[in-house]
Amino acid sequence: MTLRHPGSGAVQLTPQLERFALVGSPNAGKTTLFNGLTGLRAKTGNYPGVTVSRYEGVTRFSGHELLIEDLPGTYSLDPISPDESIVSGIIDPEVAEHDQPRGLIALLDATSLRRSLGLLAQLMTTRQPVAVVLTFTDELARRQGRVDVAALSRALGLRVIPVISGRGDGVRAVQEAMVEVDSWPAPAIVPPSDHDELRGWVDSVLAAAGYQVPEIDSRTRRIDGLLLHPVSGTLIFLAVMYAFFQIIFTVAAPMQDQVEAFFGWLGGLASEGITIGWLSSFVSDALLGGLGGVLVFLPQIMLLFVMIALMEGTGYMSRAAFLMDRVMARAGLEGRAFVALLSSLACAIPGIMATRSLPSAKDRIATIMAAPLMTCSARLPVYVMLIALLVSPDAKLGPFGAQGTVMFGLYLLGAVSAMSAAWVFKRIGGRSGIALPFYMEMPSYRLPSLRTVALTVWESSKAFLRKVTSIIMITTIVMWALLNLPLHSDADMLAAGVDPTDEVAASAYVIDNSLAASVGNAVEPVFEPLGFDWRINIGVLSSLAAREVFVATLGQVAAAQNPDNPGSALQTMTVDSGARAGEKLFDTATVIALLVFFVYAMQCMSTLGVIRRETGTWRWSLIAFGYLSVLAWVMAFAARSLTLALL
Amino acid sequence: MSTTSAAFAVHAEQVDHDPRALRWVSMSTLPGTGRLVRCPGSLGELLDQDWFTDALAERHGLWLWLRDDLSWSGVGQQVRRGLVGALRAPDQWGFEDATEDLIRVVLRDVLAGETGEYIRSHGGNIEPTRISADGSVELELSGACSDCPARGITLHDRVESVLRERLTDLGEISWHNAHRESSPQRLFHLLPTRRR
Repeated sequence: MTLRHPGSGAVQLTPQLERFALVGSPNAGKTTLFNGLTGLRAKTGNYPGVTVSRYEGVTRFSGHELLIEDLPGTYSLDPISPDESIVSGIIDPEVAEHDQPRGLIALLDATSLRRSLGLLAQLMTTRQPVAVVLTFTDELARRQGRVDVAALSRALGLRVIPVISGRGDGVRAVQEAMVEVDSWPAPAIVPPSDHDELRGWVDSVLAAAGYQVPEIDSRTRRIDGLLLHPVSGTLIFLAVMYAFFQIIFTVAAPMQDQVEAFFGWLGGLASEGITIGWLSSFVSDALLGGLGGVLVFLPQIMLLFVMIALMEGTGYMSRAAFLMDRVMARAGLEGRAFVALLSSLACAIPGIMATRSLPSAKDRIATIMAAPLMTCSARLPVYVMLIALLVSPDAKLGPFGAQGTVMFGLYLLGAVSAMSAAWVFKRIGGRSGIALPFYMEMPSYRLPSLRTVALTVWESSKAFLRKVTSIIMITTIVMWALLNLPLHSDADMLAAGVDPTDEVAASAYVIDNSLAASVGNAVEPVFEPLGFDWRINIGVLSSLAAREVFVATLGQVAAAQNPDNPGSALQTMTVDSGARAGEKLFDTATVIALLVFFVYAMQCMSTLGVIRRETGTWRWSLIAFGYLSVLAWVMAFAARSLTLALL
Repeated sequence: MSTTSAAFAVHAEQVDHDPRALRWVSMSTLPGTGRLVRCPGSLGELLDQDWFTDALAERHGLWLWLRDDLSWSGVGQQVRRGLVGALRAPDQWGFEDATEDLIRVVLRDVLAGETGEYIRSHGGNIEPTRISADGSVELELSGACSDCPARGITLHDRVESVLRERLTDLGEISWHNAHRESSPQRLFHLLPTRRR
């Protein structure tokens, strides 16, 4: 699973350096080696389909600089899926579209050597320089497996470098090997390509290397008995997720309060210290109220990625995928699709890119259409803010916090909706071809490496901050301008019965008569049935740029109305016109409608862009935007009506 | 599927410092040992056309030396297919006795490989001094081997057993220490060392 956000893309090609490509099946330890070689540029994954885009990094070793390319994980060079065609395109000398790497570093997982040799045979057939890195030799030994590295090297006719994950000496050995690429042994004859002959070659090589298949780790087997069981496994999975959302509120809330208090203090300073009216409003409303309002969710984002990293690091993520694979099979989708959907929990963009591993175009479209429904990390701030308006932090549901329970429900609703959408799109698309085999490895349970967890959290925090300081900031500034224009003279305000010296009343007047208000009022007919007023409307419209902007926009409105305590301003805000005039704006029915709206609405321009890129046409972007917008409205309306009927 | 093809599972290993030779390793036992003179199928035809300057069979490996005007990368796949085909008719293989040559080749291979590396890593060295037609072998130990109390076990476990696994006609293996100028065990060059 790739946890990259848009923007943290691959390193630029540097063609003057000698290039080496890392090739191997998913989970062979490619990303770990890549990180070790290039110094933490890509994230470690224990998950099938970990690398979807092209990643490059530079490794430095005793005066040498070498370019390392981490190719997508693949089980063969037969171009079945787009991922595999990328790999075979780069490796096959007959395909001239890419520069040939100087040498190939083939990673073989010692615990599943038989399957890895099939890929290696294909690599050797290209007659390019190949060196073998044998990974997980420590795990092989721990599980009573055996391989004679020297004999394997002789049988293959290649240089074989055993590495143990997390040890620097393996990385150095690989670097040394790359520097000596000219003296790599080349096998006198390449392995056969015929299926049966190849099988014979693999058998013979394994026998010569004294290979003994590792036993399934007894600890892993015992735990799996419980975790992969259809009933207990599913219950435990749900319990884990439930516990996590409880943690988000109980652990992150105090941190969030601290950050909030800090921004409140800054806001106080700003309104006192800055005497220029518009600048004071810009700093306290737009920057502190808007951006600050989004930034306070950093603890939650970090926690989310701590959880994802822990689930991956321990090997639990593969189990979750395995369990869900059965559910997905009901929906007519294969396991690869679930991997893509699971990636979308971080962000829909890597999720959509992960669909490249799907061989069937129909499945791919169905998964792409469903991916935006998975609850991505951008929805987290919106949910946390709205849930705080819905239920108090002290509210309990039995022994559990009600806030966490609502959050869990929203994630569940997103997941169920995504699978339903995939099912529907698959139906519309008609029958797809034969199901291709899907390998999903169940890695042994491991203690997650602290460094990997820290790295994941660091990368995602960085991506979040980058997003806050780019698209969210720009949109927030635009919203600030729209909320404060046109300018009003004191005479206008007096004429309207507002005392221009009363700052709060004056800024409320400015906002209520702003361009943004006109826009919000103009779309009122569309959103009125959902209980939204113009303020929510502009929040929703501005969040088309990125979902977090909703929080920023409402933060600005609230900060203008009550600079000292924007949080309670939202609580007490009332509707000023229309059928609900005088009522609390964020009443239960409206907040529920808003939450449901955000579960479905397609408010992310980057995702639309990626859909266009991955499908090659704007058509699917438009379809996704259209169907999700209509769905969001209908579901929000239904949720509101239901709530009103029940209350 | 795997069991039927495993009987004809082969791969080729290169031989150090001898690019003309390939050692074809078979998972199943070859039909015999010695110099290969007759063989069924296409491998037999290649043999008759003098593609190989020599062909020696040990238990699980066939040593083939390719004629100078041919290259392994060019004809390797053809040889492989021929070998796999020939293994299906084990009764049609014919051998000549080549005990001396075979022992020399296999011994060199063993001493160049992991076994030799192990011995060299301990500062020792082993060289054959005499290989007889009856299969008996005389080895000379030098370096750290000469005084090593574990030399007997090493020779037995790491050299002799490996050789016996690969060769059917191996006779007695004897060994002696190389003559040396000095030995760390000789006290100030006063005490004579015993030579075997």
